[in-house]
Amino acid sequence: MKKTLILIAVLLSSAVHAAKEGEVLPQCPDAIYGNQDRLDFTAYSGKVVLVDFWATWCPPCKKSMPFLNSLRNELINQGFEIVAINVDENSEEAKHYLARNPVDYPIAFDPNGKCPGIFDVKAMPSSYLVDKSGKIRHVHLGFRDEDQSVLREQISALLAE
Amino acid sequence: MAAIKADKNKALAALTTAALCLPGLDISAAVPAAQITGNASYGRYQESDNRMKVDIYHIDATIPLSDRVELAFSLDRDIYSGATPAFSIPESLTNLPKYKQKSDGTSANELSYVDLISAASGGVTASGLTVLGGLNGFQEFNDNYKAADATITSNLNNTLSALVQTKDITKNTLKTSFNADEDSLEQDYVGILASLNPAITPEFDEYKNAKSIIRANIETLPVSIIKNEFTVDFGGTGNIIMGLASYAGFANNTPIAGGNCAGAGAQGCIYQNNMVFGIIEDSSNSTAHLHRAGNAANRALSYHADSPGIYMRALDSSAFGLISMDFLAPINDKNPDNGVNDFWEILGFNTALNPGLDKGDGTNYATRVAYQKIANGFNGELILDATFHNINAVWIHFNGYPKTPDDGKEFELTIDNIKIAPPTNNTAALYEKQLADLKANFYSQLGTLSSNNPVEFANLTQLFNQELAVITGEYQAALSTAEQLYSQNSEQQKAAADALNAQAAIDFYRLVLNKMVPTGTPAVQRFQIQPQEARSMPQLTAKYYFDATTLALSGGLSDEPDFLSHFGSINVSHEFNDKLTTISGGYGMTSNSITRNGGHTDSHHGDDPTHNPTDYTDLNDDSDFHSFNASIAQVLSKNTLFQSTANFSHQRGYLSNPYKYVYVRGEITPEEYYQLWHAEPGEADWKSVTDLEVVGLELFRDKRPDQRNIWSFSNRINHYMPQMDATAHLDYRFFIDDWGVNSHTFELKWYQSLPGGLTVTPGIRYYSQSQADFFAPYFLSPRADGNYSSDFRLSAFGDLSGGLTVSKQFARGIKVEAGFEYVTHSGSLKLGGGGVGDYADFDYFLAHANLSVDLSARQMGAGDDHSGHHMHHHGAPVPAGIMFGHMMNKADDIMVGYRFMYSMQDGSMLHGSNKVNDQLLISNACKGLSNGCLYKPAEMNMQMHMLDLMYAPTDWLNLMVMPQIMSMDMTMSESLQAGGDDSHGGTEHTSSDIGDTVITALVKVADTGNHKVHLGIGMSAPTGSINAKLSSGTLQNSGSSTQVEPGTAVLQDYGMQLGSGTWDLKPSLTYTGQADEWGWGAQLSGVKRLEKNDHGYAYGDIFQATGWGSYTIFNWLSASVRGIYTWQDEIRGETNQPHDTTATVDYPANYGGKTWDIGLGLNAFIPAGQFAGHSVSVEWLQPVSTDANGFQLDRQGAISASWSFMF
Amino acid sequence: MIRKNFFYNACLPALVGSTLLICQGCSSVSAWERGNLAKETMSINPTPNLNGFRDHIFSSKEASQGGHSGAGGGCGCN
Repeated sequence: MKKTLILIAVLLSSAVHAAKEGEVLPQCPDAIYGNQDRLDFTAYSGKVVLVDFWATWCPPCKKSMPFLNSLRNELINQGFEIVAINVDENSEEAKHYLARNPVDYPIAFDPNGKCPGIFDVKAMPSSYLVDKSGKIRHVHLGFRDEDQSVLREQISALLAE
Repeated sequence: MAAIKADKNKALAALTTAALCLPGLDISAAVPAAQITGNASYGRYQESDNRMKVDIYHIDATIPLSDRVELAFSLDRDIYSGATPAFSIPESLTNLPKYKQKSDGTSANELSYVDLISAASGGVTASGLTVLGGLNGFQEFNDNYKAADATITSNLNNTLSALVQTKDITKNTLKTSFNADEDSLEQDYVGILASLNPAITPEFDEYKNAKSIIRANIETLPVSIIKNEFTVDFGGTGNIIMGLASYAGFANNTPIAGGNCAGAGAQGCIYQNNMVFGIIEDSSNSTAHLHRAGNAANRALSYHADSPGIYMRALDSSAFGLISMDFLAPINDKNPDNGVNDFWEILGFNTALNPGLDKGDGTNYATRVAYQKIANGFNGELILDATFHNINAVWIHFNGYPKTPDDGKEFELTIDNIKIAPPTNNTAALYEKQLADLKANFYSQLGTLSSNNPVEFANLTQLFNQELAVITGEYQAALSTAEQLYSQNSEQQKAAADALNAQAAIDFYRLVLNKMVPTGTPAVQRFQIQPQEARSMPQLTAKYYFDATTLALSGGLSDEPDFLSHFGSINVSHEFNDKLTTISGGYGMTSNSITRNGGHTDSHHGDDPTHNPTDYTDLNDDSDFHSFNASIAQVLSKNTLFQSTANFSHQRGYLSNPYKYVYVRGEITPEEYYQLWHAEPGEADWKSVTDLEVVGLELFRDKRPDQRNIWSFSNRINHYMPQMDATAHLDYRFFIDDWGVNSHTFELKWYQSLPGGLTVTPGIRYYSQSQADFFAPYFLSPRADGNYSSDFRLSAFGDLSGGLTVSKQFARGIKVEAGFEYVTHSGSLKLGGGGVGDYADFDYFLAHANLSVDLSARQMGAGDDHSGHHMHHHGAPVPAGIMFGHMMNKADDIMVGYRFMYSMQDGSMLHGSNKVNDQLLISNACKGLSNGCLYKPAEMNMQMHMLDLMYAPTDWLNLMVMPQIMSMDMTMSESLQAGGDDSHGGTEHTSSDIGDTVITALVKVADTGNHKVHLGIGMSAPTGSINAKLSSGTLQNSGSSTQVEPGTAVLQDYGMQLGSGTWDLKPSLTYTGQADEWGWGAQLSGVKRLEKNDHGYAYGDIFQATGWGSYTIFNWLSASVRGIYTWQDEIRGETNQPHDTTATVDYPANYGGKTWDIGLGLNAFIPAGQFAGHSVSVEWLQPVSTDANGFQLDRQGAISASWSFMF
Repeated sequence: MIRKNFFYNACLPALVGSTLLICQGCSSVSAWERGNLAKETMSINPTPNLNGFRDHIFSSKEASQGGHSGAGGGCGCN
């Protein structure tokens, strides 16, 4: 058992921490908003938050954004927010993309990959659904059209809590 | 713990089910496209020196139907033309002196310098390879063979004259002794009677005197060997008179001893029943000859336009009578003329030998005593008139040609069953009669004078008669023995001479065929012209994306005139290990069907059975390929990717190249060539001569094994350098097969990203291959396995190329790319040396341009509030057949579209609005053709594929560029007139190439929302070809040059050309209106040709007026009805290029007219959803009335279809 | 339980080991670090139309075929 644990640790190397379901949402001190403020998840406590890791080089990420945007605008009044963390190594490219394809939810930029490392992101895109108490309840890896209805249900359930 | 385990499981499970995003890791990308992407590209391949050139047009689109299903289709159209190597030969077999053929229009005694090995242009025949323009013409053969024959003949002459002398001496001796015996018998007989009656003595003396005078007279006269009537039939089964296919002896010149013509075998004359047949000597043509005709059972003698006529005489030059003969000269392809000057002349001479006849006028000669004319076309028994009953020689030839024609005149005559009789007015016979009368007179006188001694008289007379009979019998027997002996011996000698002649021919063939080729003799190439051909290749692919696995199914076909291929493949790829590793495998199958474009033979000799044409069946073969591939791709670091692929392919079936030839020495031996020369018609057994297919002298078709196993291993590494923002790709491929070919390919590409969305990619490639086991530039001896190829693709060589590609990414997903690559193909570039010599070196370049559109740059989908954006701009739809009908109203909008049109014509020919019958057509539709039209079109179809690109710089101006490719096909009717040249009957002509490109500016004139008017100012640029060819012509210098001989290419008619050749003005004015579900519109448009094109003509100007109405049935579907009036002028001017003139479509007056059509259309527009903004429409154009200029084929209708998308 | 132990003691190491083997001693690249690998120029075939055109020409002027993708259309080029 111990050997396997070590093995797993080796496999999931660079991860010191990991964000799993049931855990508290970790902080990402290195992620910066466009206005230079640091990302602080405590600002969203009491709300249902979807933390979405995305990049401009990831087609399913780009595909998911219009859906997420309309979902967020629909549910914002019920206490739902999306915080997207862009992991492009060149934030200018991401900002350029956002200028042409704007979304309404906040976007933080982490070009050095610290935040995804803390979360131990396994796939692109990855989204972490956090309940009102700041606990991670669902982790979605990737995005397909069939995920839309699942997400909607899960968010609605969390909002109802 | 349990939780952790569960988590672990979940994590592992997540690895395998996540839709991780890693595009580009494999040929099947792990992620489907987000939106429709499409490409349109143009590629150009061009070899150095006017060799091959290919234009490639490609369009493709990838359509994601859902997150997991993706469809892709592509369409390629390649157009090939140019010169291509046909075969290669050693330099020492080029520039050999050969006597020209009369069809050049020059004297056949002139020499030209040609290759020994040549491809036959008119079909391969045994006679063609030898006597009719093949081996026999080479100076080395011709002069040596004739010299050898002269020696053989002179030796024969010496031997025969000894035999003749012996025979003559024997006969004279016998005659003298017989006369002496007869005289002495008579003396005894009459002497005794004279003693009984002395009155007898003076009578006897007088008789003896008279007898010796008559005898003396007879002595001076020649003895004719023509003693009875007989028929010369030239032999047949059981009686071989003509064992050879041709005879060239001069029968009118001084013979050798015994009366034979000088020359043995094929250089000699034909002999039967002591008659001699040959040609007259022709100083202008040293290769003149007569032909054996008929069949093996029944032979005849034939003469056509390659000699100066048939000459006949008796073997001993004595007189004879020509009574009748079968004279066969029917009018046909080979004997076409029957004008007032087309007749045959028969001349009879009073001397057997008439040298120098070719120098006269053919009709008037001092020794001519008989003359008869026979009109050409006579085909039966000819009775000669009485003047021919006492002649010594006959000459038959075509009027006006006492020599071999050198002006291309054609005629043919066959004669048989020649009835010969002893000559009338035979002086010798008169004297014989005189002698007989004298004897009869004297013996009856004797009877009277001996009436007193009847008993003695009776006894003595009886005794005398008995003894006379005995000695006469002995004399005749001895004479005939002497004749027989002479005949046997002389036949033996002649046969021996013929055999020597045959051996000489074989020996001199060997001399010519087996020329020295020292080691290191360079090879030279000979080319052939590839007529322009088009290949189409549609392909369809479907992909299904599972979570970490992708399945791709693909199929398509490739179609060109002589090669049809169907192919399909299945590929599976799987990602694992955090999507860092992808393995994939696949299987593909290709099934090909290969034919060969047969040319029709140029010369009728190619089909003539008497010349023994080759009897190969037309090529119609298959081949199948089965391919397997496996690959693994591995991410090595965040900037490095590695992939390794292995391919195995098994190919089976017809794998040779149908258009390449090889030179193989020794496949056909000199003995076999001799047999081919003299083979009986229909009896040449090509299979027993060689297994390969013969295509010319010493030239055979490329033959490769019917199986091939191929292995190929390639490795590549892609590495990104963040400091430079550049990616390097390095590839190495190793290839090996069981034909002996192995190759290495190294390729390096450097993708340099530059600001502004530019990517500049220089690249370098090096390729080196070894040669196939059965490859050689030429073969000096046959191979045991029977496989041969001189195709440069299987030789040992290297390719080095450098290229540069530049691409720019624009907004809205549009990317434009252009590139150029220059490649050097050379034997000296082979890795490690040992490449084939530089004779096959050439260079080529590849140029390409690509436009790609990725519609995912505009986000579409549920929740996007831009999705309704385009619907509002749509307005009422415009029918598919209308061009320039729709303007975009918003600045910076782009529209791309594809338009297809297919129009059909068949049925009756129209003149004005009326159907016409063939008679009227023949006399009126082809003004300038002396005997009227020979052909009309039976069916014509035209296909057009057009790309529409439109951009709106402002909201009142749209700019459009519309390139297009056109394809036409036309089937000709059978010949309209009996007996004419039927070579084009039923043939299908095709042409295919890029058409004219239209550039238009649309300007908004008025827009009230519901009513819009816009003006179009357009130009048509003459990018379309006006050089579509019916025949590509011939290459200069018999294929050693890649340039076409000027004036030999023949262009297609006006309707088959792909462009107008002129800059044309294309104005238009369009009005559209709408109200709720109804829409309507009208358009006036025209085409004005601004000049005549380079060939001296211009297509007619066009004016068109059209009006339509449409109704929206559902929100995505509408229907339209339209009326169209079109006026088109006839063609102005006439082409100055060589072109056919036998059909109605070759005449400018048969173009243009006025037409009325009705159009019925449907338009589908996708208002929302993933594919919102796309519009597809289709329209059928039904002709209602046609008023054609001149004579034209009726129209059946046309279908238009278009797709467009605005963004 | 025993089966689970077997899995974790034998199969899992083998699975992991073989994965590492395939990985050939490379370092693992995290999901968010794959931006460069996702670049179009890093794909196996960044210019499919150009490469298709080139492969078509090279395979008709040289004796070698394949090595990059699966079976393609036939051609009777001279």
